[in-house]
Amino acid sequence: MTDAAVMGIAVIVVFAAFAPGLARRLPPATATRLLAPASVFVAASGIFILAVVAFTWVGQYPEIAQRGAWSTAVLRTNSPPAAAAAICGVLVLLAAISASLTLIRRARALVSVRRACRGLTATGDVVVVDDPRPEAFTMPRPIGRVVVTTGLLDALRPDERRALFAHELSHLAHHHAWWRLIADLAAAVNPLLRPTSRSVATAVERWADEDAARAVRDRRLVAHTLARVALRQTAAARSAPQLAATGGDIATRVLALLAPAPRRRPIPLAALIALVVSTALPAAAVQHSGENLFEHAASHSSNRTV
Amino acid sequence: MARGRGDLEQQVFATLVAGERPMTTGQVREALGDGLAYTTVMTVLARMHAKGRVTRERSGRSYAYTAVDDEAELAALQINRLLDAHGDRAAVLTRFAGELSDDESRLLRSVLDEDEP
Repeated sequence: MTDAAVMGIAVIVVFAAFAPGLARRLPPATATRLLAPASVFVAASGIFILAVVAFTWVGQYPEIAQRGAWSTAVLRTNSPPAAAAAICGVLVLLAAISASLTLIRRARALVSVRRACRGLTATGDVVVVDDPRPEAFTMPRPIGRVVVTTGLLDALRPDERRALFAHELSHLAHHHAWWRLIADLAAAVNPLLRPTSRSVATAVERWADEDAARAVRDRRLVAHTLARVALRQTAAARSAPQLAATGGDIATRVLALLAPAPRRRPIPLAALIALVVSTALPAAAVQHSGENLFEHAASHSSNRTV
Repeated sequence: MARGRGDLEQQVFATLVAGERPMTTGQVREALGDGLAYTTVMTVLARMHAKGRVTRERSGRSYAYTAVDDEAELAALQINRLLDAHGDRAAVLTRFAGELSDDESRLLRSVLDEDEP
């Protein structure tokens, strides 16, 4: 059991280290759709392994052993070291607290964004705000609004505005904020997955960039619009506080738009899928050996009582 | 006289608009003239401030409130609150671009220059 658990944690570390790099080689929509659920899966299998190990320790308490009718002595001799199991239990607890806090904070944030947005006049999905700060962002559905300031619109040419709106409307159409939330929750459970969540944040921006490039049929236009807006926002940030959100890794996005459109790449795709699947195997092994351990301990306990 | 929270808010709002100058909680309560509890008026004003319907400035030990009359002004206040979003509020928004580090700025400038036809 200890071996399977250590193997499981090792595979999760490998995923956390390599998945973001592999995802960068994939078309951004594929990367997002694969990486966000995968990070949840990996976070969950990590918690599962820790919980099973922790339970071998919890199960040694006489009150609990009695209830489950297993022998504490047999359990103790075959279980992972008590200190390690106790640490696993604490980690499970911390992960649960961290995930709940993130969920509550995000839900409250959505409610407050929704409140701030009430009474704004929208044309379709777009709200134009009379403000000198160059700013554009999207509030996810169910609010579903694209907010753009006059400060930004005035600075853009008509074709650049088209690129901007195509980008923002892609966020709405494909529920990008929710993909990001999923990855952020996984990272709240398992801090090793923070780089993965950052790469999901960049992937959804790249996804919207590629959609915009297709919509205006000009990759360079989107690249130049993005770079110009970012430079303008950087200059504006010197004089007034700006929105704390960032649109992923902007330099990466610009360079990707100046390169040819991403192609389907079977090898990184297969490698990423293999990595996800391989995290499931040790978790299954832990489950199997955990079951055996408790069955074994239970059979000894019943032998004694008979 | 029974009245809902909304009614009281409307009356406080009307009082502030009619007052034409910033009014403290005590002044609003006096102008309403209904024998309302000070804390009731204070709560209503705080709620209206949270909604962006009034602005406030320090006046001695309490605040003086001004009605945000104009709809555009109200929208601007709300949007200010949006644009000042930090932490989780910022995390639920997807932003088009964002600030660059000095290195990134230099990189993008040179890329743009090179790419100009």
